[in-house]
Amino acid sequence: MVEELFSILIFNSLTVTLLIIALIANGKKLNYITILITAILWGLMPWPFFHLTADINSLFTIAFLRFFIATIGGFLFIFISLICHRYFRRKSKWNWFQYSFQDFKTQITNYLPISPPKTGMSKRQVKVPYLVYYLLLGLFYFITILFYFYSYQNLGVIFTAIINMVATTIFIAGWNVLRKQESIDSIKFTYLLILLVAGILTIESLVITEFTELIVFGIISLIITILTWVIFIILSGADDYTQAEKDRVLSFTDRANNFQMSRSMVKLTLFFLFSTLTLLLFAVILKAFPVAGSIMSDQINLFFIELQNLLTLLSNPWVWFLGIELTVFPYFLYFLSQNNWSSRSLKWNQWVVILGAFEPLTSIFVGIFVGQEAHKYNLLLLLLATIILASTMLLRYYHEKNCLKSIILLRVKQGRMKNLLTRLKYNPNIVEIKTITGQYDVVLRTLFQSNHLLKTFIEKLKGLDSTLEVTNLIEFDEKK
Amino acid sequence: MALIKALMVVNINPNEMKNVIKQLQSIKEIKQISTVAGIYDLIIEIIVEQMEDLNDLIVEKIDLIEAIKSTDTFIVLKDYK
Repeated sequence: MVEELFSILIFNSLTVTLLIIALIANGKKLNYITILITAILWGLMPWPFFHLTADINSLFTIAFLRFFIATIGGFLFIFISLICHRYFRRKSKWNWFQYSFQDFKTQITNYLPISPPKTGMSKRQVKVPYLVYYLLLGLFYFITILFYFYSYQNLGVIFTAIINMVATTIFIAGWNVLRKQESIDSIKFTYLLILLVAGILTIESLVITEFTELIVFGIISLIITILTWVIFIILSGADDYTQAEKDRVLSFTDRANNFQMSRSMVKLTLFFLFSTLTLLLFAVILKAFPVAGSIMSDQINLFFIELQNLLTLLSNPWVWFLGIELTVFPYFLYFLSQNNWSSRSLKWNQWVVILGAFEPLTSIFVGIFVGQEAHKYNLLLLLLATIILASTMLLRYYHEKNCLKSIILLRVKQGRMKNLLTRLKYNPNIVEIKTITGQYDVVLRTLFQSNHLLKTFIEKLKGLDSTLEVTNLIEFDEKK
Repeated sequence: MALIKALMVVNINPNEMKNVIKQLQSIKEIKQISTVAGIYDLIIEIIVEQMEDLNDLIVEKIDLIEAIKSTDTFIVLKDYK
């Protein structure tokens, strides 16, 4: 009991301190620290997992509780934001962490998959594409998390965290190359190769005496996790602003960041809700059509038994830590850092990739010190894999830092400025847009991974209806 | 009062780049200097409190740097990103 209280105290002190540092860093425009802390918070997920598996038998129950509480936390967050918007309207921006409460109301109306009645008499209508989108995201996310937990349980936290990170990075890089969104140069190839070596060393370091049914199930779970996670990332990346939204954002450009923030939080909460619903649906189907003797069927039976004591389960503090502190908090920080991004040297997604290695690195520490998993590994090989994994961050930083910077001056056709700015604003390679007086109308600062990508972008700009003249200047150095 | 932001593109005489950058770095209103390849040599970002300060800066400081061949100044209307 004393040990449990001590663990709760340490855990909360750590997460709350990290949250405060992240918010302060964000307010001071040091958003890469916010990204770093987000990765650490995600990496801490095994900590409550170890405590919860001591009390809860079905991993379906743990996954369900995580989504359920994250949904409650998300809606609570939106509700508080709406209240604050209503009562602190005059002081719309909290400068200490650069966040506004405006626009939540609009976002809820926009993104709920049920539209309000068009007239007083007509019924509400279901927005089918939105519903399908959320159902798909919910399905992939719950499968990812559920099987991630199975992999944790059967193969260990350290192994799961490292292999998942290595495999998803390699798969997504491959997918981006296929879609011609990323080019593989020699440094990036070396980076991926080093990640692969870290993965192989991790596999080698795991000491397995015999391949039991559970180990095989763990391996299958990890493969399912990796595949569904990759699909989830691709699906969620496909969600872009609609034209109406782009126009709306442009009409209040100084508030565009807050618009994006409220949009992200509303959509996130809805997708937690749909993860909860799809998990329940999946469990009901498996319960109705059980596969005799399978691990899943036993887990489903346990899930429905445990669900009868929902209130007792909700009284476990670790459930709330998992759902709020390690799910809602990091996602909130993730969006906050993205929406207030100001660094010119590297883009937000470049820092996310560089600092992403902190997530498995944190899980390694949690696995060793909280889960006491050290005995499962050949420690020397694991240490080597950890060092290699950590070193990939330096290599990736070097690679991203050396990408091609350019300044592009544009002359724009009469009456096309608004349309052009809308098009440019959401291009991830454009880090700065300014409208100016004089010989040119717009200045862009861009970051590209290669000469080829920059050339393609300039050709696209030249081909636009809105542009009269495109002048490109390659930036070598920034001083002051 | 809202600050005035301006961008200035600069062309420099050959072999004078280091010297010009050094002199520009000593001007406090210049917030950033970028060396570029293309039709210009430098792009500098200036922030001043009022138009008169921008005029003073150009006439009394930048224009006096002999190695600068030509400049063009653009006032920033709005930062969109």
